Amino acid sequence: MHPGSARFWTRIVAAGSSVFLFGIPLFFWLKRCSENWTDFQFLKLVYSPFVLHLVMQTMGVAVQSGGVIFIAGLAMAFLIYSFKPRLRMAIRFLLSVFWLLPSLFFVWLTRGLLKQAGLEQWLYRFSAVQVCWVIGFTPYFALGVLRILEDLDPREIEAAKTLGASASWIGRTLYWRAIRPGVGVLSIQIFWLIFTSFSVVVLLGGGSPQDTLETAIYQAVRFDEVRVDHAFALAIWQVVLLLGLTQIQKLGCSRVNQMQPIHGAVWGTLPVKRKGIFQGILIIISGLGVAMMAKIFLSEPAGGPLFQSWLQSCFLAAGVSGLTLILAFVFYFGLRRFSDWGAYCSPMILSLMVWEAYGAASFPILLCLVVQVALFLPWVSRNLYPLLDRKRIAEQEAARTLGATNLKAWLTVEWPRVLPEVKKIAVWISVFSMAEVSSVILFSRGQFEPLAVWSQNQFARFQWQEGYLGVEILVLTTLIGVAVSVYQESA
Amino acid sequence: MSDVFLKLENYQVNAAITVKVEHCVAKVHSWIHVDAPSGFGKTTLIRGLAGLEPQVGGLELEGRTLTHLQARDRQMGVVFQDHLLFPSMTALENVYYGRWVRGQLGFRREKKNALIQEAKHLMDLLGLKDRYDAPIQGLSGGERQRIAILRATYWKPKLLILDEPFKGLDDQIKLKTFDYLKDFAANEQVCVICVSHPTDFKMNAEVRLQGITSGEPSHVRKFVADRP
Repeated sequence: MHPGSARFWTRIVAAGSSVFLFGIPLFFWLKRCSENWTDFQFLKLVYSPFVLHLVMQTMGVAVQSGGVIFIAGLAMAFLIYSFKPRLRMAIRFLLSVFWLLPSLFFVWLTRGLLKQAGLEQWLYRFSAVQVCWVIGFTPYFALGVLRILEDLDPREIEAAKTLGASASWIGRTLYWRAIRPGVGVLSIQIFWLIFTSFSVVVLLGGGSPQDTLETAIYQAVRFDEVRVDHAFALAIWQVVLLLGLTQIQKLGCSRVNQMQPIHGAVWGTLPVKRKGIFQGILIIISGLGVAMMAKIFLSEPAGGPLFQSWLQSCFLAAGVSGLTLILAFVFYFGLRRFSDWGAYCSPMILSLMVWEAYGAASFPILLCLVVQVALFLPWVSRNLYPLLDRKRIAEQEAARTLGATNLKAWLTVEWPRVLPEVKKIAVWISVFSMAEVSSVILFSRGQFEPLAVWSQNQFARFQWQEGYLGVEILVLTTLIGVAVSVYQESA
Repeated sequence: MSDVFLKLENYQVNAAITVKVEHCVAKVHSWIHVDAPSGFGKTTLIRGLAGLEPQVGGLELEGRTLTHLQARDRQMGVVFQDHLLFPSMTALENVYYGRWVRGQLGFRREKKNALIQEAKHLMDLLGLKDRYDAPIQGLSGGERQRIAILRATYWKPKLLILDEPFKGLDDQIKLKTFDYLKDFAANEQVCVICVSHPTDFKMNAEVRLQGITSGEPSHVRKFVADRP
């Protein structure tokens, strides 16, 4: 690698970005924590009864909910797999959209369902939180398993039948072996989502003592007495648990299974058949969404605080989406092996680290941008890099023989291939960024209050109508984003 | 007991195209060569025989009617054109899969080890030494083909169906594989139905099922045995 070459500069940019995103926050964080690291006080804190109780409590609710999600997700995936392809495609699309909806929507849905079912006594307990997780995460799990099942060659099943395999044997030796690595990865992702779930626990759990590690970290720093070492002790447990689960999952897979591609992403190809009808439906959905939002905003002068919050969310989402994708490409060509770092970090702890490092800058939207880019980058890498790895080397060589530079050859051959996926990922990041609460809530003060945090605050103040209105806008924005993404793909 | 081992009488496979065999009989340990141009329905016929397509008519093996039986109950080993090995298993696991699912490996360690050793020995015979634990993704096309042949024969079926078994093999391996199949058919007294291009290999088939193009509607393919 020559100094001054394109690769050299890419690495410099990637290294600089990783220092800015991860290095400096981590350094300041460790510096702050080390002030209290005397006489093993910190270790004592890590093993203190209070922290251990929180760990056990979080693990308990996570394992219970994870178990239900696992069984329900597998059943749902096999049920959908048994449907005819067209129906399967439609259900998969609906579930994909359902899963993209913000967690505040699931809070609203769970409240409504429990009230309808006469189970109001479950509210403000862990039972309601667990119901909400099951409703929200089961489609994600099912979609992941379904994707793996659809990748199975049905002729292999036929081959097994000719060898005398019964249905149960086929289930054990073919289906289970095929889905096992993916199920492991999906389970880890579900645990990550549960461990880092914030709004659901705060709004449906009703606050202390119904805390998980994530909400306890927030409690540790939200009041006047900021207990950073306390938050760090909780965060260490969170990271250790996730890393431990990952190792168990790896040990559980045989060598052969680990060699198979692991499907981390759940998103399948969205349906593009019957383009005319489909695009028409999407245009109607988008149009209705825009009209409803316009009606809500126009009912107040200058759109009111809701409109301001929505605008801030949109700016933040656009920035996070663009910067994450640019950095994903920079890391791919520069420092690929480090792009996975931070995948097991919680949004809350990332916020704290960034706050420690750049707090003086006092540009909350920029700090949120940094946190969310660091949060989404590993996930984008995992979805995008396998696609970038499937290079069309022969075609690129052909382009170079015709006089194209390396960059021009890549732009001509590879870019059109990856562009639809890049657009899709951009929309998803935007949607997730808009719905994010825990990575934003610490920075929300004064005039800066993005829509998800605004809605959460309304709920927390028991102003349900305002909160629902915020969730409605979030859902509509999500639907418009999905519609635009699918429309582009089908076009 | 009649010496007819395999009998097809007005046998018809109803898949995307319809494939018909009016009459064909074969004795034990005989080779049937299916010969027809590409796209004629050879693979459809084979899938029908294996029980993977809807079918009507008479199909008998050792006097037992198979038409209504499921694939797993037909006692037919199939070597598919695309191998269709199980990617979630090693090469060795693929070879003994047929015995495994039939519970023949049993629970006794000695018996299981003996059967696995036998599978390894067969792999050695076909030049697959030290490939026992190789993942399927790491095998070459020729190696996959040989694993597919071993998988179809190791559990000792009564009828062996080969869909272009020598495709992609070099001449030396082709000879070795053919010798293995010949010995297997002779030792186990099985009947072999083989689809292969005439240029692939010269075989002394007892019966030739040949595709004829005239006298049938366009969606129907008819195969006629040259020694009815």
